[in-house]
Amino acid sequence: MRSQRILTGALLVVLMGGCAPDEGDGMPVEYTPVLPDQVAGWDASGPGESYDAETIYAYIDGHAEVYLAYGMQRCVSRRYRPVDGDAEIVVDLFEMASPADAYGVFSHDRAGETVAVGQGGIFRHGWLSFWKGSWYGSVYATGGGEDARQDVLDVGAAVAGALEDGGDIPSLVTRMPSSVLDPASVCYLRSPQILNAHVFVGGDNLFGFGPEVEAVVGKYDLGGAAVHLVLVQYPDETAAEMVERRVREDVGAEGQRPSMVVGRNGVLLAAVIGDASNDDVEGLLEEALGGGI
Amino acid sequence: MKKNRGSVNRRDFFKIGTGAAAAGLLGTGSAESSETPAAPTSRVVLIREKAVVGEDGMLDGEMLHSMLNRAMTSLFEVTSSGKAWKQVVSPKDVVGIKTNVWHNLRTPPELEEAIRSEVIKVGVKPEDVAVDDRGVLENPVFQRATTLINTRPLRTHNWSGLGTCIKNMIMFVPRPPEYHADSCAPLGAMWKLPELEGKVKLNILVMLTPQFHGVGPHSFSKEYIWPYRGLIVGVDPVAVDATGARILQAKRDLYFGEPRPISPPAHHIEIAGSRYGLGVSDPAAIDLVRLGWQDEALI
Repeated sequence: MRSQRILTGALLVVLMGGCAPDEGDGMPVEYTPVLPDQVAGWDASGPGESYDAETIYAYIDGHAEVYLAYGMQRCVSRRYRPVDGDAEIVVDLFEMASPADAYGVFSHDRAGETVAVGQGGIFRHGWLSFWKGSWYGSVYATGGGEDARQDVLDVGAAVAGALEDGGDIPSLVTRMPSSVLDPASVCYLRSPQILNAHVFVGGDNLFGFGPEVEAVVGKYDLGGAAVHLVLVQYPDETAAEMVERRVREDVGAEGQRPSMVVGRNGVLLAAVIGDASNDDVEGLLEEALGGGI
Repeated sequence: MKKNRGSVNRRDFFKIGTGAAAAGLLGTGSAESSETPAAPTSRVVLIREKAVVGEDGMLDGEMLHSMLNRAMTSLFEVTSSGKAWKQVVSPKDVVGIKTNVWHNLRTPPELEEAIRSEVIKVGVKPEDVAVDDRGVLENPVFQRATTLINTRPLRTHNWSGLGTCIKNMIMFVPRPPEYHADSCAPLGAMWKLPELEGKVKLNILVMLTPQFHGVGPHSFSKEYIWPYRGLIVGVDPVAVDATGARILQAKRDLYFGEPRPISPPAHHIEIAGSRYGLGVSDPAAIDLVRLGWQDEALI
C-alpha cells in the first residue's frame, strides 16, 4: 500500500490559507490541515497518513468510489487512542473538489442524529460525519456504539474547528420543493451511480451526469405514494434539451426504466420517479421547475 | 415547461434487464419464475449452528469445521465428507483458497484452516495449497493453481450492493476499477479470465456474522452485523450469492421496520448468471438444502 506521512504537530492548526495566492511567488499554496498528536484527550497511535485518488483504494478497500464520485483530491487520516484503555478513534478528512462536493458526499448518507459540527454533522452508532468548506470529515470509533458518542463528538468538533469555512449548501438544493419532502433523503450528486444508490434509474448515464452537471434527489410523499424527484442543472440549455430528448425517447420506449415523468425549464430538468397521481406528480414538477433560473 | 410520461411502469421494469435482477434477488420473484417455475438446477446448502458463535462473539472452530463437512456431504449427496472433498480436488491438484481479509469482517482463519486441512487429507501436497487474498496474482501457488476454492463473508458494499463470492475474485484483476461500472455489473466477466475460468470448484459464503448495512468510509459498524451463525456452500457462485442476498434483504427489512432494498442493487449476481452463464439466481431454480439450527433463518 502506498501512503505518505503528513506533518504532525502538537496542536491542531491550519498551516496555510486555503488555496490563497502566496505573496512571495504568486503560486497557490496547498491548504494542509494537521491532525495533531493529541486531540480532546486522545493520543495519536501512529503517524498521520495521506492518500490520493489512486492510493485511497488500498486504504478504504472497495469503498473509495463514493468519494471519487465527488472529486476526492486526497484524504488525510490518523488513529487515536485514550491515555488508558484500548478504544480507538479514526479521523479521516477528505478534500473534495469543491464545498458543493463536500456537502454532496455528506448528504449521501444522512440517517442519524443531527449535531452541530462543522457546517453540518450527523452522528450514528459511533460514527460522526460532517462537512466544512471543501472538507468532508469522518470520525469513527472502531468499537462503535453510543458509549463512544461524547468522545467522537469532542474529537470531531476539535478537528472541524480548525478547518476553514467556505462555501454554502449548493443553491440547487434549495430549489427542491420543501412540502412533503423527507429532508433526510436529500442528496446532492454528480454521478449516475450515486443516483442509483438513492433511486435506481438504470445502469447507464440517463441524465448525462458529468463534472459540469449537478443534481439533487429527494424523496417525497405524494398522497401516500413515495416518489423521488431528481432535479438536474446543465451548463447550458442545449445540453439540457439534448438530455431531455434522450430521456423522452428512452423512457417512452419499451425499456428498462421505472415509471418516470420528466419536465424541463431552461437549463433545469426534473424527473419524478415512481407512481403517484398525475396531478400530484405534475404539481411537484411545476413547483420544482417554476420560474426557471 | 414540457412534460412527458413514459409508457414503462415499475412492473415492466422489474420484469426485464437489471430491474429483474434486483427484484429476483430481493425475494419478490421474477416474472419468469412466477409463471413457469424452473426445475432446480443448482444445489446450495445452508447450514447453521447456534453454538458456533457464542454470546461473547467467540467462534467455535471445531464446530465450524464440522459444519463445513456436513454441508459438503449434503452438497455432493455422498456418504462422507471425505468423498465430498474428492468431488472438489484430486491429489494432483494445485489448490488456491481465495479468502477475504477485510479487517472488519474477514474469513475466519479457522475456516481457512479447515478447508486447507481437508484438501490435504484428499492427498494434495501441502506445498501445493495456499490461502491468499490480496496477493493472489503474485502467489506462486495461485499462479499454477488447477483448482480454486472461494470463501468470504457476506456484507453490504457501497458500490456493488453486496460483497459476494462473485466479487471476491476481484483480486485476480490488475485494475479492479475497470469492473466498477453500473454498480459492478460486469463482475461475472472476471470469471472468464484464464486464471479463473473453470477452476473455481467450490464457493463458501460465510454467514456467521454477516453485515447487512454499511455506513461511512470504513463501511462498518457493529450495529449492522448479527450472529446468523451459518455457512452457504455450493458449486454455483450465483446461486450461493443469490441465497445470501435474500437473507440479507430479509434482515434489512426486519431491522429497519420497512422495505429497505440493498442499495445499490446487487444486480451483478443476476447478471453473472444471465450474461456470463455462471449460474442461476432465481430461487425457483435453486435447490436449497437447510441443515442445523432453523430459528430466525430469514429464508
